[in-house]
Amino acid sequence: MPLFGALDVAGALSGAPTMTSLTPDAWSLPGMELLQVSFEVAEEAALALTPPACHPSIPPYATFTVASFPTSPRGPFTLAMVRLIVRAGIRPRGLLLGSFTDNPAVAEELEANWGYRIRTADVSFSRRYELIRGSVTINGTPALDVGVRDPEPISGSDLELFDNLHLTHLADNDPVIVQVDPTYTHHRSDRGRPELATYDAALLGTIGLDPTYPVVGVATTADMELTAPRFLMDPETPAIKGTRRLDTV
Amino acid sequence: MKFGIFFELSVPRPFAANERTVYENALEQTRLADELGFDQVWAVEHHFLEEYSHCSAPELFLTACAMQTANIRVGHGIVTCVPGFNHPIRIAERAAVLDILSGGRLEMGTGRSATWTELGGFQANPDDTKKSWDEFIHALPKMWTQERYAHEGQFFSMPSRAVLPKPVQAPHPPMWVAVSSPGTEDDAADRGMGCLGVNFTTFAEQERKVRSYRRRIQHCDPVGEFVNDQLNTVNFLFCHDDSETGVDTGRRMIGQFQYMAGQLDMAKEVYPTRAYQSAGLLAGARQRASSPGDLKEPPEGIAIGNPDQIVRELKKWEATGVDRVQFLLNAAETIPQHEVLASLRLFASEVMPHFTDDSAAEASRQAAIADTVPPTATAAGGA
Repeated sequence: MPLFGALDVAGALSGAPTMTSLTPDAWSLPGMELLQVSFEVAEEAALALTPPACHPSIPPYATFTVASFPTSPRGPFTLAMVRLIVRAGIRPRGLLLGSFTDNPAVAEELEANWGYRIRTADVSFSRRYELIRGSVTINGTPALDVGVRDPEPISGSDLELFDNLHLTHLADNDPVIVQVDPTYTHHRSDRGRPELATYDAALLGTIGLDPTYPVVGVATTADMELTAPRFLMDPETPAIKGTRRLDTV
Repeated sequence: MKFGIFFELSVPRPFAANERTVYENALEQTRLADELGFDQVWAVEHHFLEEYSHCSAPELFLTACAMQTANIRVGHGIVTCVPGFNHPIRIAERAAVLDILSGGRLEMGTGRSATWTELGGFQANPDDTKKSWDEFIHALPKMWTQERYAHEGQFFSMPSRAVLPKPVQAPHPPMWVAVSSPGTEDDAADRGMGCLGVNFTTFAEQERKVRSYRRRIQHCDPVGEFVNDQLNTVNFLFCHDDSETGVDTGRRMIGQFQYMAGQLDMAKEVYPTRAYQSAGLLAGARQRASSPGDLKEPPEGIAIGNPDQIVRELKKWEATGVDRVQFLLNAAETIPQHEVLASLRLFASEVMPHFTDDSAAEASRQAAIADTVPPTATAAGGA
C-alpha cells in the first residue's frame, strides 16, 4: 500500500476557514490568465503536509500559481496559490496550502463558498514575450516571485491543472476536505522554463514545503467556470473510503 | 495463440525485507511456467517507481530466468531507449550477451518511459523520447549484424567500432516496441516491429489497433533485417476451480496494481508535451473511475475466474487477432505464492489446450488484413 500522509489534521485546521455554503452559484470567469510553475519538493516534509486521506505522489511536487481575472461577480481580482500535488485514491489533486488575492470581497466569497484558505495581499501578474511573471507581496515584503521563462505555445488540451483539495470546516465545525474542480476552456497555452526567484515559506504559511528541483512552467489564457463543490472527503480516512458526493450528503 | 508471463516486480513495504522474496518468487514462477509450456517471460525496465516496480536491471533478472529454464523465451519488456537511461552500445552489448547465454531466446522490446518519475530522475527531455527511441532502434540491428558500426546522430555518435559480442539468433533477435500511447501501434507497424501492448485495453480498441497494425506493416520499412509482425497484449491471470474465488482474488490483485500505478507521476500529467498524449497504462484506469477515490471496475477480457471463464475471455482476445497474451501473475505479493503457482498449473492443464490450434488466430489475422497485399516477410528468430 502506498504511503499515507502524516499531517496533523487538528493542528492544520486551526485557522482554517469555515464554509457557510455548500451550494454556491457558479462563477463564470472569462478571459482569465494563469501561470503555474512546478517544483519537486523534499519528500519527508511533503509527507508531513499531506493529510492521512491522501498519498504523496512519487516524487512529490508542488505548484505555484498566479492568475489574473479581469472580471468576476465581485469585480476583477488576482489570485495566487501554493499547492502540494497529492493522490486522492489514484487521482492527482492539488492540496491547497495557502492562497492570496488582492480583492477582499473575493477572498470572503472564496473562503465561505469554496473553502479557500486565503489572505489578502498584493498579487501581480504580468506577461512579456520572454517571461510570464507572478508575485505576491505581503505587507510590503516580497513573499513569492515565480515565472515561466521563454514561453512557447502548446495545446491547451495538453495542460493538466488538477482539481484543488481544501482542508476546511463546515458550518457545524466538521473538518472536511472539499474538492474544488473548476473547468477551463483554453484559448492560448504556453510552456516554458520554471523560475522561482522568491519563495518565503514563513510569509506564505507553507513552512516545510521545500522546492528542490524544477519541473516545468505553464501558462494559459482561458475561460474558467468555478462550479459548486461536488465532493467531500474525511481528512483522516483514505479517500477511497472517505469520499462522499455532495448531493448525497 | 501463445502465452507468456510478464513481471513488473512490485514490492510491498518494507522494501528491504521483501525485495529478495519478490525476486525469488518470480524466478520460481518462471521455472514453473517453463515446465508448463508457457512461451515467454517478459520483464519491464523501470526506475524509482516505489512499490510499483523494482525491476531496474531487467537484463540481470532475465539472465537468471534464462539460466534456470530450458525453453521459455526471455523478453525485454522493454529497454528504455532514452539517453541517460541507456547508451545504445550498452543495450546492444547486453542484449547480445543475454541472447548467447539463453541459447538464442531473447525477444528485444524497446520503449521510452512514460513517467516523470523516471524521465525527471534521469534528466531526460520528455519532448525528445520518441526521437531518441527511433534513432536507437534503427541502430541496434546494425550493431548486431555489421562487423563494425559507425554513427552520427542527434542522440549519440560513435566512430567505427566492432560492437561485441553478436547475438546467437540470426540475423538478430525479434524487435518489439511497447505500445501504450495511441498511434504507437502504427509506429511499430511502419518499422516492421512487433507490437507489445502494455496497457489494458478493450476488445474494440484492440481490434482497431490490430487492423491498423496489420494494414500498415504490409508496407513497412523494417528497422531490422526481418519483419516481426506479431501482436502481443498484456493481461492479468488468476485461475481457480471455484469461479468466485478466482474472480475475487483476481480483482484484489488488479485493484492493488491499479492503486500502485495511480501514485506515479505520469509524464503527460506533469510535463505537458505533444510527445505524451495519454497517461500510459493509467489512461483507462482514471477514465473509468467515477469519483475522486473510486477504483474502476476491472476492464473487460481479464483472465480471472475458473478455467471456463478464462477460456471464454481469451477466445475473444484471439478473435481480435492478437498473437500472444502475457500475464501479470501478482501485484505486491497480494496473492500468496502457492496460489500463484496453483493458478499457473490449472491454466496450463485446463486453458492452454483450448489454444493449441492456431487456425482461429490465423483466420482473424487474414480477416484483419483482407484489404492489403499478401505479407512479404514474417517473424523470424524462433519466436
